[in-house]
Amino acid sequence: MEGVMEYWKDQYEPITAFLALFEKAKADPELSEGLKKVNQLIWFDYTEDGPECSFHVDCRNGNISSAKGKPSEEPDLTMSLSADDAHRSWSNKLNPVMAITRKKIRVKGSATGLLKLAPKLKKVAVIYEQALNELNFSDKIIK
Amino acid sequence: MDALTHAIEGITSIGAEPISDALGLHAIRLISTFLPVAVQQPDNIEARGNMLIAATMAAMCFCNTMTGAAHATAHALGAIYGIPHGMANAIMLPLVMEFNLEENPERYVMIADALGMNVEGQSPSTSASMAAQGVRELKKLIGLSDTLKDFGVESDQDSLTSLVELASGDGQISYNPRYVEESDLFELFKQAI
Repeated sequence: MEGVMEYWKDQYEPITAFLALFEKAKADPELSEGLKKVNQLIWFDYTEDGPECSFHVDCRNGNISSAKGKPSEEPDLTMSLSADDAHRSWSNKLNPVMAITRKKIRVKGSATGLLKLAPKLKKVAVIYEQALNELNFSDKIIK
Repeated sequence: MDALTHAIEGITSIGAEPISDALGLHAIRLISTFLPVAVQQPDNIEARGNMLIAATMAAMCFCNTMTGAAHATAHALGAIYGIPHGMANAIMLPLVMEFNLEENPERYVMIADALGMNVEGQSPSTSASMAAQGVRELKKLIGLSDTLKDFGVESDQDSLTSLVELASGDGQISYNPRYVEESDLFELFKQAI
């Protein structure tokens, strides 16, 4: 059963927002280079908030693609958390390492490469805010 | 110096909390008082006993909070150059403290005070910067080197790249109060050489 989310009306809203964020990240030279270095198939699993609430990013072999849902192949890395905590993290309001320490984020696979990008969260938060504005999700921006 | 780094990075870590603060701050007080005595008078049991207590308290502090960039860089220096961990921490610590200063100066005011620096009447930013100065003074007092050059660390791009690569993936770096970019790591290592 889906829990009540603080920021999202339904399980589809966060995935729309996060995929829009990754589209923008792909267009950013610094962030896309950083993601390519990670070189993993990553599943961002928010299914605790609904069975459709997840997306994946494939940044293997110098390409980056993202899509809704669980990938058809076995992911190299799965990060399981709530859609609200993901929103906080992309907004640079939740330190991902501290969240892992406190079991707010559960990790399967090696997260070392992705966590090396943690310093880029400042920049990610800026483009995430742009994405939210473009989607008319301005009310969700964490002040 | 490893114990001092545990205490200081424990107090400034993103996981800092009041109980760890208490443990870390008193560990710093004990270390700044008894480390010089223990070094100058190796048979002084009181000084050595207090250092053991300080090291235990500092460990209890960082077990709750983790550490930061001084430890991450020291791990890389130990792995590639075999530099003893406490020594690597001693070299990197004041540089990392200065790097972090802007992120949470009030934490460094507490540390400067625990190190016995006279922060009375000083502005918060001056008091905070006195923390790194206090560490440098303690190092001088016990006769420690201040440079990685003494351990044969090369400053060419390839050597630095290996260090940066290891340090940026170190588990402790993520607990540093200020995000550390790869370019920041290059700069910190260069300053230490």
